Amino acid sequence: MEIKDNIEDKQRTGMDRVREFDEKLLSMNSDKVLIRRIVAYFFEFLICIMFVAFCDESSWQTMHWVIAIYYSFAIKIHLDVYMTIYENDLVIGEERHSISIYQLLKKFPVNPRDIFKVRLFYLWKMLYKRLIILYILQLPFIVYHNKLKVVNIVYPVFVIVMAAIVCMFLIRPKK
Amino acid sequence: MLEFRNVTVKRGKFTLSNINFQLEDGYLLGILGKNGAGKTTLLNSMMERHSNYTGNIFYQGIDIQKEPEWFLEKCAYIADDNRFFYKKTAMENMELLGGFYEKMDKEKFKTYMDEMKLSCGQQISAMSRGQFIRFQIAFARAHCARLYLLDEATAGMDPVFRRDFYNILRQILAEEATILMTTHIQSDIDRNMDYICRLEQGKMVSFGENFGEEGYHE
Repeated sequence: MEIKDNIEDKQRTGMDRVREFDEKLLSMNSDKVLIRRIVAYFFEFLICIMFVAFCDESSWQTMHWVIAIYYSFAIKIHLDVYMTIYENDLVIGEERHSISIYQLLKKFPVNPRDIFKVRLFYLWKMLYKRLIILYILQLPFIVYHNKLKVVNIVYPVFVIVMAAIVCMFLIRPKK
Repeated sequence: MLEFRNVTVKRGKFTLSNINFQLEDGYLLGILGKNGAGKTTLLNSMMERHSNYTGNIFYQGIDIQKEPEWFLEKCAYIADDNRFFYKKTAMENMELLGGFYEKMDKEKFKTYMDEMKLSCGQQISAMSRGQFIRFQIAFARAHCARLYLLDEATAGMDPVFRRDFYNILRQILAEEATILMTTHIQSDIDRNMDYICRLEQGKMVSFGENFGEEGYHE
């Protein structure tokens, strides 16, 4: 009975523990985190410029795939801040071991599903903000052509879904 | 109490078959066997969440497959290839990874590190093999581990280190913890193990109490 109580008597959920781990890791690597974030924002800035520069309808049609893929990688770099910063510390002797967080933590009391869920949460937070930005970025296009098309509504969703597919692949549990 | 009931582990082409034993708390079990006998496989079968084994492993009467997080909180796997943040200090590792344990105690960690004659500010990558093993023991004791799995922890260590090391293990056993340890060193087995489990080519050929140089009784 005592053991059963102990199992149920959890002060923090698995997701809380993963979040705390991420926060501590980020604070211990604040310089590396800053550099990665600057790179990611620079990529996003370039994408915004492209959006405005190619708001001419014919160019925009040809560029939308490129923009979508670029956006996926910009978001991937943001996720890297959470996902791979720890790799820099996993050096055994002279040999560099690139391992996933799932491999790192497999002997610790943490459920891989909780790590995945926390990363999904980060991904969602990033994506919905960027979806809003994409709609705002389309405003010059709509004003320039003086009309609102279905593509203006669908395209940002398409970009975000593309980014989500790429990022889901990157954050999946790896054995 | 730790109990293996008809446990068979498959790993690639290797099979560790039909492991059965019971071990009460407060004892040190030596797992012996040649390379490839299945010693590490036996330890890993307990630590891996989706370990490919059939049968049941019970710890304190609970099937560890059904409560993996609870079991991993109670358990400490100690080996020289264990993964920690090598470029971070011992204390930073404790702060990062200790957060996964409900009972991790920073003050206890400092005390155990002092007992082990280790500095909390030392980087893991700067530790010798023996220091790294002792750091892992301090980490395990700080989160109140009850089951210690030591994979070749004394391999390549000098006799003085090994004597001190077994003294530490005796302190841990006095706290009613259980230790499973793989080793090749015959003198260690004779002097220190309470029970011996002998593996050969993936089979448990014997399990019994150790009577030192007289041998062991099943």
